[in-house]
Amino acid sequence: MGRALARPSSPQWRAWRSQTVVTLWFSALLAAAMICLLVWSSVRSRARSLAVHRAHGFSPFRRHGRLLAVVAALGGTAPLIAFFGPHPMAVPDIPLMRAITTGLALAAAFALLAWPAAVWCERRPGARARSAGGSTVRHRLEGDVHGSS
Amino acid sequence: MARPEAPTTIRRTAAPATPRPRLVVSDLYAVRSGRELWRNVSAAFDAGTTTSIWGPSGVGKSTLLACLGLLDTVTSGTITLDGDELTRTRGRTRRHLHRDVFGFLFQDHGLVDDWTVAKNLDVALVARRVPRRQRAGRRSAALRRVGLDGVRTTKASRLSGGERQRVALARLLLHEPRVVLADEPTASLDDANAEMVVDVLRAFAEGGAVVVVATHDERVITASDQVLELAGTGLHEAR
Repeated sequence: MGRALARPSSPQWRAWRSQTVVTLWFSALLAAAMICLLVWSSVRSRARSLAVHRAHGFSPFRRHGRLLAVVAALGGTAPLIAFFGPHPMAVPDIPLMRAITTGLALAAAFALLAWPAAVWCERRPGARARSAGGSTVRHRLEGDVHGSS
Repeated sequence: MARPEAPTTIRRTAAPATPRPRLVVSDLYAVRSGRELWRNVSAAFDAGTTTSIWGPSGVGKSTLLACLGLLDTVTSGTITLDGDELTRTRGRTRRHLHRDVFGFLFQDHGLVDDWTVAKNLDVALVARRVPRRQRAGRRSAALRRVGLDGVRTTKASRLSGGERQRVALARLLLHEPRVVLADEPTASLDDANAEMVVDVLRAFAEGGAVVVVATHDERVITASDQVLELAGTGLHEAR
């Protein structure tokens, strides 16, 4: 093997960890806030989309979107490969790869949070009866009878 | 709570000479949140006819429609279509029924606000496995049929209530269901839009579909072949 592998006990690993631990904590906090915000903003739309797809006979896989499934799978496996694979330091030491790994992990976290939330919304008895959910905003333009809700 | 008066004008058009029951419900019973919604709900909905289900608010008309369309479950009872029991269907069979048999017109239109009109319509086309190159033509034809043109790229959230209902109608036309279940389809629509909704529902019935409408609207009731009143004790003929 051409280059020495960095092990968790090596100085190289400790240096990298000390430089990045604070940044990582802040990043994690910001990411968590961002994910919560994204999940919150997308749940309604996704729940309605799921309900509409269900009413038209789509399978669960197609309802949830193939692309998001791929993102979740990649996002779930990429960090594992990066940190626990045969070359643990090789991937994190390359900034681009680190960014991609982090991005995929965030996407996976988003997907893993958003989906159960949306499915929960869709499965609520009231949501099922009304099926596609209602818009809270009523637009009274042409076609509406003014004065009615 | 005052019960609304029963509609006074019910026009019945001639039913087929030998009505063939298509959708039959027997002894449906529903409990929601520990409260009994209705029981002993039995009825037959014939192909080629429009049935209005009328009743006071909160009696469970929407829930009954959702149960008929297998979007919700009944506590007990059976729903059959052409003799096949649907109540216990699951998975692939149920998806097939939603894809090819049942079509819904929701009170809130059932559109995804963040999607364009075209994308909302595509749901029905993709469900029916219409090839991509045919979709644009079909979308345009359906939108023309409901009097909407030039909104293909408009987001659903930007449409008025009447326009949203017309998009939902266009989606129903593209879906071509054998059983149409419409929940208050004319609520908050003006006369012109309500008339269009009624026309499309009548067209579905004339094409051989079973059409069941939950409504308070006399414009819909007068255009129905059969009017049933839903009460806690069941479905009854409303004169």
